[in-house]
Amino acid sequence: MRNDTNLNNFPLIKFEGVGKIFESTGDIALRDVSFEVCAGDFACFIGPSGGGKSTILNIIAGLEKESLGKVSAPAGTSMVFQSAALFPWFNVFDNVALGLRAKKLSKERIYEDTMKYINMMGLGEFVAKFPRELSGGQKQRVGVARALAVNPPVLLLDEPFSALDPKITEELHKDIVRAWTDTRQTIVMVSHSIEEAAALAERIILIKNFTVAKIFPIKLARPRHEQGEAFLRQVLEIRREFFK
Amino acid sequence: MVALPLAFLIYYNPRAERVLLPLYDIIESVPVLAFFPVIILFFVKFNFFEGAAVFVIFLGMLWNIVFSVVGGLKSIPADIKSAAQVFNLRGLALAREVLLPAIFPNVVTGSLLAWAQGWNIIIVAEVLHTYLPGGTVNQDLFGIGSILVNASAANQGNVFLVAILVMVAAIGLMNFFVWQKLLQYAERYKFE
Repeated sequence: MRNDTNLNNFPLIKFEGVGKIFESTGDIALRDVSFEVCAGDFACFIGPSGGGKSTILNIIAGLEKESLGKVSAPAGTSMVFQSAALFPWFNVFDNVALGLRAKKLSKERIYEDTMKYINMMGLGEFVAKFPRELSGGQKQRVGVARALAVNPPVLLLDEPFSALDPKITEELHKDIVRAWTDTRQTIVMVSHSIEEAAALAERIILIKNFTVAKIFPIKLARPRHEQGEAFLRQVLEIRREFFK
Repeated sequence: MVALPLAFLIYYNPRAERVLLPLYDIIESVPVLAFFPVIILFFVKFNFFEGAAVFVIFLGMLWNIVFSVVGGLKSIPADIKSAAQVFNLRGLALAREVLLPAIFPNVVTGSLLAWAQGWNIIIVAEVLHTYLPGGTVNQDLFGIGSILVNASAANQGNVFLVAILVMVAAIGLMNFFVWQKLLQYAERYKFE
């Protein structure tokens, strides 16, 4: 399973026959999951709720451990959470700088990198604001800036737009695509929306019944027009498989 | 200084939690004044009467803070804990940047409850002579508690009234200038 559009063509993340059983309940979360994500790829997992998509992300991030199979993923991945997961006692600057401070970089370097990503996400005027003073979209932008600031080998996005209104979601889609185009960061995302996945990703991995059902390479040119014929045909193809 | 380590011990060690949480529950559910005669006998041995009062007030206040902090630690959202882990916050950095700020509102509310509990206990804790065999008023500790109890026993209505007013004023001022400000400040540490 290779992605034709990846830059470096070597697998950065590799799952081989991975299974996950939650010890506390005995529930199966993943069954015989195998896939690769190459450096520079933008992969998106879609599938029904409770199908194990977020568990895959958590395993890549090292937040959970697989029960079976083999996982190779680089250390130091960072993540954007569905709830943004900002620390309410830190302002925007300190939230974004958090990962950099943990790396024990110099003060000048922390300031430089933090401001670079704050500005990249259009948050320059909100540097001193606290999360409670921000809108949902602004909070999520802070989450993205925080994740990008540590220059991770892989950026993980766990349904980051699911609680936002369509206008803000569209703006954030543009921000993410711009960030990916600028940095060529490997991105792995989870989404419940086929349209969103097709608009953003280079490859869509459909998870059904706790395993990989099908992988769709997305060869649409950018910028992608969600009303365009090729886009709608692609979405229809995935939708058919999704509901099969 | 004592409550936080007791709470963190439970948070960090599931085995300790299984043993200590029920133990804390039992100790907390026994009225602290039931321990007082034994505590006094211990401190009298060292002729340290203040120690008895301080210790019983400390015991009475402690559990409000411990249980409040345990509740705070357990209610930190999973996403926040995951974010801390993803961004490599561990050990002291985790405590300083995440855990201590996250429990700050609980420390404030726990301390407020403990403070209220302390006022209840102080009324009794200073009147040591009632717990000592053959005890006299001279063995009481000087303070608002002993003034209230002894004025009441001696039928000194004016003294009793002044003591009550002083206590109400102290509680009111403390509430206005300290607790309200702290509660307000703690709002910025709360998760949405």
